[in-house]
Amino acid sequence: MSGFGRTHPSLAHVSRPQRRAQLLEAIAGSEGGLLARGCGRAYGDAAQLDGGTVIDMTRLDRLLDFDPSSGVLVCEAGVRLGDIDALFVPRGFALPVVPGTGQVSVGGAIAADIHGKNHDSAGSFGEYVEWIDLLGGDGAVRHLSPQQDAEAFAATIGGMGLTGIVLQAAIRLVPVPSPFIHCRERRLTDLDAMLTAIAGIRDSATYSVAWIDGLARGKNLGRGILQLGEAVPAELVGKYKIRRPARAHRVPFELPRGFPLKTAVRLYNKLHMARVPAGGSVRTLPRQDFLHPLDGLGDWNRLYGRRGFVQFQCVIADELAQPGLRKLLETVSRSRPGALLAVLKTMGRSGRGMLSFARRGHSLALDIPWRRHTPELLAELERIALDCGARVYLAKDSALSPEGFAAMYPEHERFAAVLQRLDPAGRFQSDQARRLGVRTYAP
Amino acid sequence: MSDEPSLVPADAPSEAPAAAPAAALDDAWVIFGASSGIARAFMRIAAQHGKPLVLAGRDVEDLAIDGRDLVLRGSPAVRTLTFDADAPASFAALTAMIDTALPQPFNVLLAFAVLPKPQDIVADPDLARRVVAINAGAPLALMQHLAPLLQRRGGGRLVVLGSVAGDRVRPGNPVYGASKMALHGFVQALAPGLARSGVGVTLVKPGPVDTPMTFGRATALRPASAEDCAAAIWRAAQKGRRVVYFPALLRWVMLAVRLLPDFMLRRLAK
Repeated sequence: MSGFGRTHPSLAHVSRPQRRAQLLEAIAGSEGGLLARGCGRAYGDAAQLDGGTVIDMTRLDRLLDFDPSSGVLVCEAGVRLGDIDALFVPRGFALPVVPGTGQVSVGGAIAADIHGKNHDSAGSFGEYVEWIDLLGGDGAVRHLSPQQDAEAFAATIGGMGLTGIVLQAAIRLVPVPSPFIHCRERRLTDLDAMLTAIAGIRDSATYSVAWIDGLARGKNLGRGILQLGEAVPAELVGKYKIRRPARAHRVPFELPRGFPLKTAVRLYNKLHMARVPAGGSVRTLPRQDFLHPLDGLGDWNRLYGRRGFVQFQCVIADELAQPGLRKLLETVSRSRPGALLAVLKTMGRSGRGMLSFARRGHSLALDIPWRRHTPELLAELERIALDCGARVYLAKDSALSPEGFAAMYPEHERFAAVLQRLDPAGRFQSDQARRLGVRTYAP
Repeated sequence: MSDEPSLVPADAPSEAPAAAPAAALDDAWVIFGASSGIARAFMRIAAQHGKPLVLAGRDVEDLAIDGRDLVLRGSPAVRTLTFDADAPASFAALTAMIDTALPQPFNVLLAFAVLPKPQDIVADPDLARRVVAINAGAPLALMQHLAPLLQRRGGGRLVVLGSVAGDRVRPGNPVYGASKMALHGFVQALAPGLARSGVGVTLVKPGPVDTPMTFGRATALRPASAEDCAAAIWRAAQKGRRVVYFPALLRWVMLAVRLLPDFMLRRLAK
C-alpha cells in the first residue's frame, strides 16, 4: 500500500467495511496501530501504516441528511467530494471548497483540511465543517464541534487522521447559481509578471490558479498561465457557448523506464503556453472540468512509471513569496529531471485546525519524478522553505524532517497534548506521523 | 438472528416529503441482500431513477442508514425488512408482508451469497453444505414463495445474481461454482412460467467485482467496479434481457469455456 505518488510502499492489514458493524469489528481486531484511509490521494505516506491496520473508509459513503434551508449536509466519511457535487449542484448547492480532484473523501478532506483554487475568498474545507462524530480506538463516538470539545475539533481538522476515525460529519454547502464556470486565461512570461498579475486579481477573482512551466529556467523562470474562474450567473447560462464536458481518459499502463518523459513534458509545456494567445483567452466550461482538471486523466500517476513521484507543496508568506518562490523554482529547475508540473496559488487566511496547512501567502506545488537523488533535492527544498518561514503540506509530504515539522507547525505541542488525551495508548498512527515524531511532543 | 420480520420505514431525512405509502411504493424494487456491494450500487441507481425501495437484509440498523442515503439520492420511499438467508422458516412471513406492503407490481433483486476461501471448506466440509444452503437453497426457496406473488401482480421483474463461476464449475472453488450452477438451472426453468404472467426474469452472471466478497482475494481478472456492474444490471433489467454477463465480453469467453471439451479444459485449468 502506498500514497498516490507510489514512492514509499508499506505493508498493512487492510479492511474495507461495508457496514458500521464491520468498522467496529475492524477496530476491535486491529493490531500494530490503526489508521483510517480515504481515496488514497495523499501523495506521500500519510494514509499508510507499516505493520498496522488500515481501514479503507470508501464504502462507508452514505448521505444521511440534507437541510436545504441551511445547506448543511450530514454524511459518512467515505463519501467522495465529486459525488457530493454531482448530486447537489443540480439542486443548486455545492461544496464551498474542493481540491484539484473530486476523488477525495470527506474524511480525507477534514484530515488534510484541504483547500481549493478559491482560498482567498472561501478559506479551507474545515471552515465549513459544523461538527464531526469521531470514533476512538475504543469504539466510542465523540461528538466534536466548536462548541463541544473545541480542542479535539481543532485537532481533528487538519489532524491527518491521528485523532481517530471520522465516522460522519456535517458540512455546510453553499448555493451555486449554475453548474458552469466562466474561465479567463492569461499567459505570463516570467515569475515577476506572474506575481504582479496574481496580486492584481487575488482580491476580486473567485477562483485563481497559475500553471507554471516547471522546466523553464533563466529569464523564463516562473512563466506560465494564470487561470481565473467565476461561476456563471443563472440568468446568463444561455448566453455563453459552453464547452462539452471533457471525456475522461485513463492511463492504461505505466510508462516504461526509458521513456523520455522530460522531453515529452517540455514539448507539452510549449504547446500549452502557445495555446493561450498573447491577448488571453475566455471560455465557459462545466464546473467539474474547471475545478477537477486532474480527473480528466484517470490513473495519471502511472505516467511517472514504477518509480513514482513526489509532490512538494509549501506556502510562503506574501512578503517573502518573491525571493522564496524564485529560489524554489531555481533549485528544482537545476535538478534532473526537475518539476514536471508546478502550480502556484494564493491563500487568504489560516486554517481552523492546529495542523492546518493554510496561512496567508503563496502556495507552490511541484510534481517531481522519483530518482535516486530526489531525497537530497527534497531536503534542499525543505531548507529553502524553512529559511523563508514556509510550511510544507502534510497531505503531499513524504520527506519532511521532524525538525522541519516542529518549526513549520507551531501548534504541534498542543496537538500532541490532544492526542495524548483522546488516545493515550497511541493506537492511531501513520507512517508519516512516525517519521515526523508527532506524538513525541506529548506532555 | 431470525427475529420476527418487520417492514419499517427507513428514517426519513428532513428533505423527504411525507408521501402516502401505498402510492409511493409503486414499481418498487425489493432488494434481498441489500448490504452487498453490488446491491448497494444498484439501489443508488434505482433511487436516482425515482424508484421506491425495500431493503431486505440482516443488519437493518445499517440498512436504515442506506435508506436515508437513498431518499437523498432521489427515492420517494424506502423501507427496511429483516431478512436472514440462513432462516428459511421466515420466508413465508416475509412474502406475506411484501404482499401487504406492495399492492402494485414490483421488482426483485436477489443479491446475497457467500464465498468462503476454498481451503476453509477443505478444513470444514460441513461448510460446503452451508454454502449451498445460502447460495442456492435460500434463493430457490425464496423464489418458490415469491413467484406466485409476482404472478398474481402480473408484472415486474425478477433479477437474480448468479456468477460466471456457475457456467462451468472450476476446480479452484467447486462448492461456490456448484451452488451458482444450481441457481442458474432453477432460474432458467422458472423464467418461462413467470414470463407467461408478464413477469420478466434476468439472470446476471458477473465476473470478479470489487465488493466485500472479493476484497483482498486473488482473482483471475482485475475486479470490475461494483458501480459499473450495477449499471449493467440496471440496463439489462430495463431492456428485459434474460441473461447478462458482466463484463459483456465474458459472454463469449464463457461460451468458449462451455463448449470446450473436458480434456482440454483440464489442461487449461492446471
